[in-house]
Amino acid sequence: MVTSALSASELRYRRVFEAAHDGILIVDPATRKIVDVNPFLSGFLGYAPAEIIGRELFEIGLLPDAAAARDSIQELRERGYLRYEDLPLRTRDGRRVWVELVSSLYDEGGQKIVQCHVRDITERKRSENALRDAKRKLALHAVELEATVSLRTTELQVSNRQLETFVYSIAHDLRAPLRTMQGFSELLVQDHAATLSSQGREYANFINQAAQTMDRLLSDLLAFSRVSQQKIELVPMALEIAVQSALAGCDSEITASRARIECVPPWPSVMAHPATLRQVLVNLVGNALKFVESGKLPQVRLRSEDLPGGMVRVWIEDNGIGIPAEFHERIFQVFQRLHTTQYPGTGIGLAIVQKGVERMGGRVGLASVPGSGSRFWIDLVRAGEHARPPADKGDASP
Amino acid sequence: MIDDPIILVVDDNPNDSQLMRIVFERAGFVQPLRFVPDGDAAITYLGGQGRYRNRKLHPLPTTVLMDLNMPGKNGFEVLDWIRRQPHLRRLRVYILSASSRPEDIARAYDLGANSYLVKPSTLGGLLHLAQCLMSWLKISHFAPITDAAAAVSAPVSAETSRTHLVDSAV
Repeated sequence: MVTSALSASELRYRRVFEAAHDGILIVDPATRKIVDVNPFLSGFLGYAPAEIIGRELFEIGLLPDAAAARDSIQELRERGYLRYEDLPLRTRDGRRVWVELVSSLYDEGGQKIVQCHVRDITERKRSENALRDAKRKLALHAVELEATVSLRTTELQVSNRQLETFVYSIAHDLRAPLRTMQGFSELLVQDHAATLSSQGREYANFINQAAQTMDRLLSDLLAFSRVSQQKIELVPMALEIAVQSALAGCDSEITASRARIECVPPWPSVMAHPATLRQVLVNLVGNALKFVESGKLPQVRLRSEDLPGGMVRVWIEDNGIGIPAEFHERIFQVFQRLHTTQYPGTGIGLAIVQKGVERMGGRVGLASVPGSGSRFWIDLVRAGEHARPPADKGDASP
Repeated sequence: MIDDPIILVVDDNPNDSQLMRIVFERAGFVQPLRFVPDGDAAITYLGGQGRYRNRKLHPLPTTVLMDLNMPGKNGFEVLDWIRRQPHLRRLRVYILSASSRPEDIARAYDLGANSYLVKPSTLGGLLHLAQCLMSWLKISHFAPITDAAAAVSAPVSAETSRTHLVDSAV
C-alpha cells in the first residue's frame, strides 16, 4: 500500500514536471551535474534531454563558465537559495533568449539536491528594452526639440532686430527727400506766388501738405521702432509725475480743444521706464482729445486703481465717440484706423501704447460703448520695497 | 561776440544745403555759408589743403554744422579727427543730423560736439534754427580758435597760423 501510494505521488509529480511550462532542472550539488531536465526546458534550449543530463550548467550556457558554476553551488550551500533575475543566454541554434533562474537546495533524506526553475522572460525583456529605447529616443527628441526652439527663437529675435533697424533707417532716410519736397514747395508759395497762377499755388500746397502728412507718419514709425528696440530699464516712478509730464506734453492740444482735464488722486508709484510711460500717456490723452464729436468739448479723467497681484491700473476716460467692441483688439495694431476722413492720424499711436506698456511688463485694454466715450486702461507693476532695484541709477530718478 | 560768423556746412545732400543757404541768408547771416559735400572734403578744408589751400577764398570757419550720415568719412570720424588737431580743438562743432537716436547723440557729445541739433523737417523749423543759432553766436563769448598759448603748446603749421587773419573773435 505504502509503495503504491508512494508511486502514485511520484507519478503525480512526474506529470507536473513533464507538463510544466517553466523549465525545471535537477542538479547534484556534489558533482554539479544535471541529473534531470523537463521536456519544456530541453525544448526551449534546443537540446535532447539526453544531451543535457550529465552535463554541468555552464556547458548548456546557463552560466558563463566552470568557475561561475562552482561559485553558484557554493553560494547555494551557504544560503540554500539563489536567484538570477535576468540571465542572457544562447540556445543551441544560436537564438538569444533571456531567463529568470531560481535555484533552491533541498535535502532528500540525507542527500542534497538542487532544483532550478528556469522561466523564459525574453518577451518581457524585449518589451522592457523597447520601452527603454523609446524613452531614450523621446528624451533625445525632447533635447533636439528644445535646441530647435531655441534656435528658432534666436533667429526670430535676429530678424525682429533687423526689421526694427530696417524700419528705423527707412523712416530716417525717407525724411531727406521729404525735407526737399516740403522746403521747396513752401519756398515756391512764399517767394514765387506772384508768378504762379492760383492753381499753381494750390498744387504747391498739395505737395506741401502731402509731405507734412508723410513726415508725421515717419515720425510715428520712428517712435514705434524706438519703443520696440530701445533698452528699457524699469525704475520706481511716481505716477503723478508721469501724468503731469504727459499733460504738459499735450498742452497745446488741451488749450486748442478747450478740454477739461481731471486728475483724481491718489497716485501710487509704479515700475516704469519714464520716457516710455510719458509717451504712452501722451498718446492716450491725445487720443482722448482727438476723437470727440465736433462741437463737443473734450473731457478727460485720469485716475488709478489698485489691483490684486501687485498691479496698478491707470484709467484714461473720455467723453468721445467711443469704439465698438469688435474693434477693441484691432485698434492696438499698427496702421489700424477706424476713422479715416474726419479724424487725422497715422494709426500708430495706440500701437506705441501697447508696445510700450508690454515692454514695461504691463497690459493695456479698454471698455467702451459707442456714443458714451472710451475708458482706456493700462496696468503697471506697483513699485514696492520688494520691487525696488538694488541700486538707484542716476538718470532714473523721477 | 563774433561779428560775422563763418559757418562751414558738412552735408552730402545738395538740396538740404541749398535750403540752408537760402534760409541762413534770410536769418541774417552776412558771411555766405561754406559747403563741403562729405567728411573727407571737410578734413581737406579744415586742414587748408588741396583745393581749399587759399584761406582768403576758403577761410577757417568759426563754426561747423555737420551731418553724421555721409559717404566716406562720416560725421563722427570727422569730429574725432577735429578734436585730435591741436589747432582745431576750440572749433565749435554743431551736429545737424536727421537722426535723433539717443546713441548717436551720446556718441557725438562723447567725441566733443558742442551741440546736437536735429534737422527740422519744415522750412519754418529750419528758419527758426538759423535764427536761434544767430542769436546764440551773438550773445556767446568764445576764445580765439587758435591763440599764442595753443601755438606754444602745440606747433602749428604755417597754414593754420594764417587763420588769425580770418578769425575775428575777440
